[in-house]
Amino acid sequence: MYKNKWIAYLFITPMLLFLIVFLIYPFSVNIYNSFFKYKSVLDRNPAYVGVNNYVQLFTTRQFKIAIENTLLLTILVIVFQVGIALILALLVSEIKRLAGFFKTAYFIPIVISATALGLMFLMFFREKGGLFNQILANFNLEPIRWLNGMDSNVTLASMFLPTIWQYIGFYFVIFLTALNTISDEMLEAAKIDGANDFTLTFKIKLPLIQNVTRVVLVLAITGTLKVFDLPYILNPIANPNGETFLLGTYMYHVSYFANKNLGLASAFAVILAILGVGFSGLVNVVFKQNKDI
Amino acid sequence: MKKRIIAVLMSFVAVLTLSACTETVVELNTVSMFGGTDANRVVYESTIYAFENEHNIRVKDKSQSSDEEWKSTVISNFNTGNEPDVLQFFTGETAKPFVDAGLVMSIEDIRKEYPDYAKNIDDSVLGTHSVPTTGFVEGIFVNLDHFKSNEAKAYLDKDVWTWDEFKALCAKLVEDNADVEGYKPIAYGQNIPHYWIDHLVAAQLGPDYYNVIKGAEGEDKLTNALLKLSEIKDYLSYDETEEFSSQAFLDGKYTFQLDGSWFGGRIELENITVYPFPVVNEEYGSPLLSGFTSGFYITKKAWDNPKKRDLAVKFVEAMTSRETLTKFVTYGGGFAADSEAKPQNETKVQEALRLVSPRADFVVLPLGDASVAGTYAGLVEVQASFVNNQADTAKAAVKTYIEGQTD
Amino acid sequence: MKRYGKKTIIYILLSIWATLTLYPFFWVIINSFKPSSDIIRDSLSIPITNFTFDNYIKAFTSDYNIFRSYMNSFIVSFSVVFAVLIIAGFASYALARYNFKGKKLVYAFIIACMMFPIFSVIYPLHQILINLKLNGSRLGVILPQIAGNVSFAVVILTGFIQQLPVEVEESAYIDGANIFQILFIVVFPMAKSAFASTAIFVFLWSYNDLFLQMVIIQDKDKMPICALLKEISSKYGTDFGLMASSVTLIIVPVIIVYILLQNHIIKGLTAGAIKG
Repeated sequence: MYKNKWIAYLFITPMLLFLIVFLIYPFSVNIYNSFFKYKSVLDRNPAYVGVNNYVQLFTTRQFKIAIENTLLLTILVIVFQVGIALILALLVSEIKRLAGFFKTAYFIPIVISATALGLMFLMFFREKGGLFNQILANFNLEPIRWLNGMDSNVTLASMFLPTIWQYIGFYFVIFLTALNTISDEMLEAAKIDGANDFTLTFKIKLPLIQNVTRVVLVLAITGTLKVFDLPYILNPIANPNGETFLLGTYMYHVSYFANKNLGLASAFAVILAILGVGFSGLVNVVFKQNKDI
Repeated sequence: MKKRIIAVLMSFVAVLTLSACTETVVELNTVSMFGGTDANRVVYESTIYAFENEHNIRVKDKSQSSDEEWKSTVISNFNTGNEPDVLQFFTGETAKPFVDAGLVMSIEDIRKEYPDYAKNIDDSVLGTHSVPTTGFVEGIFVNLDHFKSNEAKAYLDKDVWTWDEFKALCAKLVEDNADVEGYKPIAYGQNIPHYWIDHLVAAQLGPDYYNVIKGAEGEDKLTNALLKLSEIKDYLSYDETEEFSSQAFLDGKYTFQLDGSWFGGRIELENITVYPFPVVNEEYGSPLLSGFTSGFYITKKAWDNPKKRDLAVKFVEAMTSRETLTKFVTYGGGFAADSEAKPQNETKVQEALRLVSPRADFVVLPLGDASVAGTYAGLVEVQASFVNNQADTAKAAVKTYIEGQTD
Repeated sequence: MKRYGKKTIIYILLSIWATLTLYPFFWVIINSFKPSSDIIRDSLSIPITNFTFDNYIKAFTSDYNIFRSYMNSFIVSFSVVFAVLIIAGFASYALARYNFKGKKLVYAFIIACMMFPIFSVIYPLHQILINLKLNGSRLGVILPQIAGNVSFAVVILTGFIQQLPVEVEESAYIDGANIFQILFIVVFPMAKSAFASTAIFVFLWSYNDLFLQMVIIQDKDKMPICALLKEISSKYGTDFGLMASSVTLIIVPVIIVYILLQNHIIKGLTAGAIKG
């Protein structure tokens, strides 16, 4: 019954149409545009400049900043987001009562839109009357300029905090699901053999969920490339001095804020897409279960 | 089962069609800067309301207060075919992209069909494509309530301050108001540092500042002018947004607000006067940023639409009639593009604004209006480096900015 | 005794994190019933003497129609979910069951598209939508969102359909069922749970996606909820009370739906992640 090949082609055609019309074709337009210099977005006669836009981009201060900050975020995501998620999952797997409640609670931020979370955190971070400075004031501490200070490290930390916080519950649930598949008999047997909590965790549990850990890491890493909403809501102009750009927010900035040279924005888009698909190569290597297709 | 699937499919198609449905009533799409907290908003919106009733149409207005992102979006919208039918926008370099691309109608072409279009506007201020409403004056709004000591009050005897006097006065005011929690002399919102950038550049580099910037050593000259901001760092409120700082000034928390005549309409405080910007460079004296930098445009899209052409023309005429301009200057301040339109019942603040002009030494347009579209945003972005005296960062941004002026 | 102590520490740690997760939402909700000036002064207290509905009255009477935005969001997101499920369902079946030339290539292509950040093509995409006369319309958001989600859906559904027993389909085929009958009566119902997971994931992604909503729709009457929320904040950012009530109006329905459907949602989202 699976001989009729034209049915297969018919079935994949709508999907391919969508992908080609709304992703691949515009991407090729980007590649084309990236070799031209536009005087403004409305310039109808852009000049061909070869790879000049790419050269310009790589020498732009903000582009380096965006790359560095995105890398920094990636590291923080691995350490804190994935790390805290793993610890929480290990703890919850130890208990019976209230486990359901914790699971429900930890997952809530994931279903809330980043926009709503962003506005919420804006109210927390306000220098005058924000929640965090009110808490500091209760301890007689000086207010901090979370988002409007001169120190880009403080601003970055303020932008990263909710970004990391939001998705901890997501990876927590993945880890917990994996931990719950470990059979109780095996753990009991290990305990009878005299394994303490430490060896139980590091010698048995963690090695057994190794595959899931790898998936979580790849998801977390590729996710940071697309981070846009939260940092944009919190700090749309990347204060101070554009030192807090991420790849996502700088992409928007180049396209819609300083929209002088469309070619430059296109070059950036091409680089971003290559980075994104590059990560997809990584995903492909990691997801071994799909190799049989 | 099959029927259910078909039913679901049908409803899906219906939803899609619904969501793409077309309008039947004529709608005029408009965009202006008379949004947000702008004092002109009342007049603008009531004129729209009257216009809708008179012509039995719907005006879909999308106005907001201007910032760099908004300017950029308006220009992008021309590229994406999202431009409105009528827009009130900046003139000069900012509008150059869509004017050059022929996407807005010239007054000359409009007058071929409507000979009386914008006839009441003074020729000297009428643009080639835009019809101005009101001109503006910028100056420092001063809350006199904070001048408590005699030393501070003595500064008010002068017509104009020098930069050093201004700084000394700020220091004095901090002393005078030491008991007020969170007091700062100068209202400053980090997202809109334009007024300080524009004034410092003009005050330091003089009436011909734009050519100075493009000339020899322009990079250093512009950077030094901008870094002057760091000299008053400790006196800036440095709020997250301009909305916050302005609101705090209006609530009587800060002493100085550098702003335009349109801000005058929002002030309800009793004890307010206006000062010209201090003399930074003795050679040139005090700058006055003033002129006409905005106006109403009719887009080609509206002109080419037979249903909308006449309406668009009538809309601009309604917005720029002598009657409406009188209302604009009465509520929003400044001076009208039709010299016959005079403000009624001049308030104290409006009087102070009128009296500020003769005290300044030269008149120029703001840097933002002189700059090539899309380049000024690069300076705004690094405002923290001016405040913080980070010369390297400032200079890098200035370099990019100047390079942007040549092509 | 030792065991008891260990459990206590675990519960304390878990409760601390639960507080860090839940308190922000609680804070927004209680403060939405306070006047703005009180939020700035003391946001930690419960509103008793200063309890007010003013912020909600303001939210509903401002020139922004929050309900209409909800409708817009639902129109957009349900359309996207529906189209993605249909398109991906067919494609996944073809990929799971047929051997055709170029299949490996198609699959690699899908994986690449999955990682493709759609905002990187926003400018030319805009141009296409203009040519299709879809710019500024809800359909202009729907179509690119379908493209942005379909590859993810195909990866999950293909993996699931592959694991289904072929025998059922074969016996239906022998009974004379045509391919569409097999799909809609046999295959898709068997893959119900995978479809549910995908649907939830796609819905949340579409509902929460600010970038496309913001760039493509300028007309506030057509704005989905995220874009509208961003508009409100840029206009009334200084009004803490209005901000709190607007955020509450948006998060509370989502939290209620989440608590009702939490098992499906958690399973859906994480199954998707583990698979794809």
